[in-house]
Amino acid sequence: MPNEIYDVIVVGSGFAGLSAAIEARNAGCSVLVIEKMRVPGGNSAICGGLIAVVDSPLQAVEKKSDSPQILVNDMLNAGKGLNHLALTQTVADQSLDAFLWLRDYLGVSFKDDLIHGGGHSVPRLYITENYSGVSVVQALLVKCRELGIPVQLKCAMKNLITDDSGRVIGLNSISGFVFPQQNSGKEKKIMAKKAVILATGGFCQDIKFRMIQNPKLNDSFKTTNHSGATAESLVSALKVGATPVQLSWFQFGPWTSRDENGWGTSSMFTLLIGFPHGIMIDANTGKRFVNELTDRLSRSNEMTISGRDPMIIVGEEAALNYPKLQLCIKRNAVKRYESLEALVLDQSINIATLTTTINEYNKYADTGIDLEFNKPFNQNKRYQIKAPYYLVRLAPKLHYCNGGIQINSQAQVLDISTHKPIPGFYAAGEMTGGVHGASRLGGMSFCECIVFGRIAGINASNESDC
Amino acid sequence: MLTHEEKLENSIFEEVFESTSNLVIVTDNKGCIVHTNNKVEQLFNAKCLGMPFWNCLGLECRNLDEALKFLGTFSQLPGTERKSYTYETNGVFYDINIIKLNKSDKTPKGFLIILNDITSLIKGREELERRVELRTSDLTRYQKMLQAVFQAVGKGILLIDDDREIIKSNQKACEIFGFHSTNLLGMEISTLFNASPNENLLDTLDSIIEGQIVSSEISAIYFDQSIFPAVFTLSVIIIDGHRLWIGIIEDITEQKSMELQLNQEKIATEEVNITLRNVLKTIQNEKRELTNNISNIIAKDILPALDKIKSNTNDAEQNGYIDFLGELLVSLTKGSESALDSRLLRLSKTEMKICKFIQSGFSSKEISSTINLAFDTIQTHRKNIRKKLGLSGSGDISLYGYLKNQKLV
Repeated sequence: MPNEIYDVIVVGSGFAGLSAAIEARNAGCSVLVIEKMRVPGGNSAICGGLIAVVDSPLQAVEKKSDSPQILVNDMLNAGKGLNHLALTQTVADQSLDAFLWLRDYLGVSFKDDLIHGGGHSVPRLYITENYSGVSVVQALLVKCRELGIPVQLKCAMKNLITDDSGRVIGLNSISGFVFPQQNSGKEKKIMAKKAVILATGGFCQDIKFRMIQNPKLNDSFKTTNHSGATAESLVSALKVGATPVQLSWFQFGPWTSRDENGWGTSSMFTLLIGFPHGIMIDANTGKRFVNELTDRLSRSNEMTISGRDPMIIVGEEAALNYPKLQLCIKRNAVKRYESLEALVLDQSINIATLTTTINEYNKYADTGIDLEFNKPFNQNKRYQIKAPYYLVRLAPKLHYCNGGIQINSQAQVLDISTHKPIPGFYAAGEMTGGVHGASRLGGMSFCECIVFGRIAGINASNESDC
Repeated sequence: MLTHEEKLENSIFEEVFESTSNLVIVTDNKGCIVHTNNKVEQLFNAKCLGMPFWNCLGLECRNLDEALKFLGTFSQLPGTERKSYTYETNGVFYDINIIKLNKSDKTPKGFLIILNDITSLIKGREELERRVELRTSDLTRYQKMLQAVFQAVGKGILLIDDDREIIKSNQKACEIFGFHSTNLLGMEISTLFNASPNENLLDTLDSIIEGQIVSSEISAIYFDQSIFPAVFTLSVIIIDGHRLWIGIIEDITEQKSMELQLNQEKIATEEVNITLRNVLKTIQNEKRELTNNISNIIAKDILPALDKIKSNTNDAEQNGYIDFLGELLVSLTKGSESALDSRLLRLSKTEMKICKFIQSGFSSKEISSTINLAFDTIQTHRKNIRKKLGLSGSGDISLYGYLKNQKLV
């Protein structure tokens, strides 16, 4: 059986992989996308659909001034300076271009509301119409179909193939792969005339590998990720000489509910409504303990202090802004209480302290200044917390791998000894490290995937044939 | 007889003191034991008079304040149910309650300590916990089995609630539609199906009753917006007054394309059949015609000729009839490939031989050298042959041309 040959092979069908495939195809290459799971999209298909955009149309409308430099500073702040500056700068510089590509070329619709994400110094987050990344993956797949890019599902990469000079020239694949049975399927060689682009995401679901990086992350830690977020292709990359970067830095999502599995239905509710327009309290004390809109690392750290029992409480006026509220209540992730008495009875919270906390907060919401924790209030929309109350019990879950393999700002994978690009080898998205450093800001992963996915696709198409 | 108006005599209090199943200890204001009831004496062998009560009870406290704090903390948490310290000795569990005597005065006269036997409560609770755990593990087992069945089924399963939203999907359903299970959750079922052909679907949702199973072919939409054919089987159950629809989905794209192929082959085969049938009919007709023809000639000409031959004694006339018969019989073979020319029958053996050579393209010179006859002899034979075959005269038809299509015996 003759080998399959394409100009460019993309491994992974999330935001980064599909963007790379489309750009390579538009540059005239024959492209194949392989995806090891039975459904496409990986984590991109279940994420919240938030993207950070600098100098966006909505910012112009709301007269919020912003610049790539401000975003870079925000990212360096959250990242505690561990970021690879060139990569961070690239993402910040190209965020607007990425957004316009999504909106105008792919036809993705976004809501008209600018969201202020935790750790961002100005509101700059767009969100998709249905609060999920699934519409973006859909748009990308439709475009792939139009351009004639085959997307092979149930096809896993077994290992990369290099020639004598170390150039990546193809990969061994397993088709008919049924995750997670390692022995399923049939081996098939696929050769790449120009390049292989890896966009296989992170490894939050890979308990073995993550415990090597951080022994504390045993199986008692839940994650928001889909079950396929594992490290095999990262390992394949390392085996051909890629450089590991900050592999033990993980992101916990502070907005996940302990009453749901995985990402669940309520994460977006807590992220969009709970934190900005409500309070997070420790049920054991009835008091707030952190700025609800600080960066995720700080929030998660505060929430996981031993003995703390974090919960989010918002009033109905704010809660009704979330269209999928009923679904969350149906799944029992968001609980509704007619009165404070009912709430404290159900959750065993001291009613005196909680009443004080809520009253104090309502004063801050009125003036727009949080005297206790300096939470940045939206100057136009501020909500008081009044009955009926909506509550979510929180438990941070493992969400994102900040580290990965090293790339340069051209999305080329760098060799660990020579520190030069490995020919024919590109990577983009969560599987690369260095963009975010210690803590990732919301909306930056989506942005990074599109920016670097497109760069990888364009540059791959310019590689000389091997 | 006791009435509520009479003050109870001391002796009655003493009886209460002694007969209760609780352990009762009275201490002075420093905490040293001054009175105990019998039960206490039995338990501690009456060694505790004068001892600080915390030592007697084995509490880890060094003085009265600590002991009071220790026992007091358990009864003062606001908004929580009253917890108590459980003291265990000899397998018997006691609940310790401490009360200040003369509560109203600032300095208490002493303390009253009551130990409540709650062994049965504890044991009862342990038993209950054990049973609950058993039940839970049973439930977990059944859940696991159900989950296994749910996932192992080769078809997609969707559970749909009253609001027509999907509340559960198995892996196969995710694969069929291309959506991750998180995204299928909460999705309105009608968004997965192509609008117009599926109006019946929504009606079916409304009209289906428990016990019914309705199966229909529908047009479904994959994640990337491409359309595919599917079979959707619907049933409904009522739980707690709410409807739960169970939808089974099967992707029949392959099946449909095979059906199409089969159909096309069927049509082609039928056309071939028709053609063959026509050809067969034609052949049968021709055969019939031929047979009829033969019958006619036999009846009209041959049989009578035979009769004439039978009844005739004249040799010359007989020969004439026999010749005539010969030609008739030959004419019956007309139209077949092996048509016999009766005139060829008149040729002699040598003449026939020469004809064969001529048919093969030999010239007279070649024939003469081949069969060793003089050239002129060959020419003479040719003249005779021409005469017998009726080709003499004009010479328009060459012997070769005439013989070309004849079958020579």
